[in-house]
Amino acid sequence: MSFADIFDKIIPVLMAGLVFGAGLPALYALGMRLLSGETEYTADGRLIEVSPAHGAARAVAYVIFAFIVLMIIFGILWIAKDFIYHSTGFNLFGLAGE
Amino acid sequence: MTTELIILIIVVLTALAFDFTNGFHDTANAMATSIATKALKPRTAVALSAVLNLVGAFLSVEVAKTVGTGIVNLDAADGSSGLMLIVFTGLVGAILWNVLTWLLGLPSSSSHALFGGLIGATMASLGTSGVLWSGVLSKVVVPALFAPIIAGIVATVGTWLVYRISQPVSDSKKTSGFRYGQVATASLVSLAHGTNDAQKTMGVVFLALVAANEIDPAADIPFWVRLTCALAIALGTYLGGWRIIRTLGKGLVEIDSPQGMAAEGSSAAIILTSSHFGMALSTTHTATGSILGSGIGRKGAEVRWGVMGRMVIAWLITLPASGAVGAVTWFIGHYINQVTGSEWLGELIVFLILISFCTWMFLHSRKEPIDPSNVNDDWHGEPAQGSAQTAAASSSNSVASQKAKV
Repeated sequence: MSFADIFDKIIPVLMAGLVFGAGLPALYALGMRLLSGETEYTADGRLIEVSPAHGAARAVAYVIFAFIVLMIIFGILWIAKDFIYHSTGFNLFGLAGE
Repeated sequence: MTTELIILIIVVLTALAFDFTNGFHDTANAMATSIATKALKPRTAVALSAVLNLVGAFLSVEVAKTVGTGIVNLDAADGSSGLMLIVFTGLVGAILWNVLTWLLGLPSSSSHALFGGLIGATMASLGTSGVLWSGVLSKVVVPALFAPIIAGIVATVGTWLVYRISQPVSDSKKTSGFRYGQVATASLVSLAHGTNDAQKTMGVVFLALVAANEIDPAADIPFWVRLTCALAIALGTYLGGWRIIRTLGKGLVEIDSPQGMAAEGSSAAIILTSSHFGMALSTTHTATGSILGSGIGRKGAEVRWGVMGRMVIAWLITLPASGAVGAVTWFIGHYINQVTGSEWLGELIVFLILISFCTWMFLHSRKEPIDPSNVNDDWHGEPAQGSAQTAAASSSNSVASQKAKV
């Protein structure tokens, strides 16, 4: 195994990690921000909500959350892809049994 | 009962014991952050993780029917009894290392312990030619070097983004929202863990059955093997390696729920995708790197590099240490059999050695027990110690500190 081989394998792992492992949590945070209305600091330094979020922002937030739920379902199916292939013959993502 | 059957039973029991230690050693990887941020109650967290490990274990179908393929070459073993002794002492090395690192509260990779034990026993029996060193390098050493680095980078970026984006969200919404995210990502890690790790033990049990001529090598994994392996890893997970949970959840970094979600999200993504790219990364190394990254990515968060240093040392010596135990117990078993002319006395003695060391370490752990009641106490210094010495004082302290945080 040469350095080039290692590098070839590391880069995709890092990229996938950044997209799914950092991107999705960031997207989730974006959803929460859209769901949050105006906030203010109290005298003792806590951040509290003073007015609720706008309707449009809420709608976008729910779309984001739905997308994330979908990704989690994909994640579960991904874990189970070999099992599904083995028990039903259906090759999910075309990648089972590698 | 024939000698072969007695040895087979001992080997299968030892394999299940390894599976059990694998479970309680790795509960922390998925659940330490959720327990530390109180997204889940400690008992609820380990119960959830146990159920998901159980389900995950049944999802594993592509069970490797050989053990340590590409790392050790067991074909050259001296008949079925020779093979059994190598696998058995390899498992003993792995279990003893797992229990010792648990006692010290250090997360270390159970796969590394298993490989190390097998490598040690193989070298003792077949010499260095029985070990495929290029496989050891590419399948064990290189992934171990990169897993914490990749996970650390991903979690650092994730944590930084999450804090930046969610900055104007009110404190109460932040806490509750990120708790949901944390539980979801931790659950994915648990499920993937069951699928990946239970099948290792299934492979070991299958190999032992083949070696004892109890099953056809081409047969499917019997249902009882699947069931017992799934139950062993789930039971281990449920009992929870509280000492390791404490180190990962409280010792390495002080974790808040946004960090917890970023860390588990990073772990889940890397564990699920890495094997697809031909570089399966260890759950333990990935989870630890992610938690570390969640500390680096948050401004002002305290990262205890001393704790990290101890973990890295544990990782470095996992392979040689479990290998040494595997080799020593192989010599003990082999020479007792040779000197006495017995076919099972050696195995029995090694089994007794395993039980006595585990009992000793368990009794030692009771001196400073870590359990759901003190797993989240404030961190003072060393892993697996904390405020346990002053149990009475700390329980009132922890209540006070929890109130302060709320």
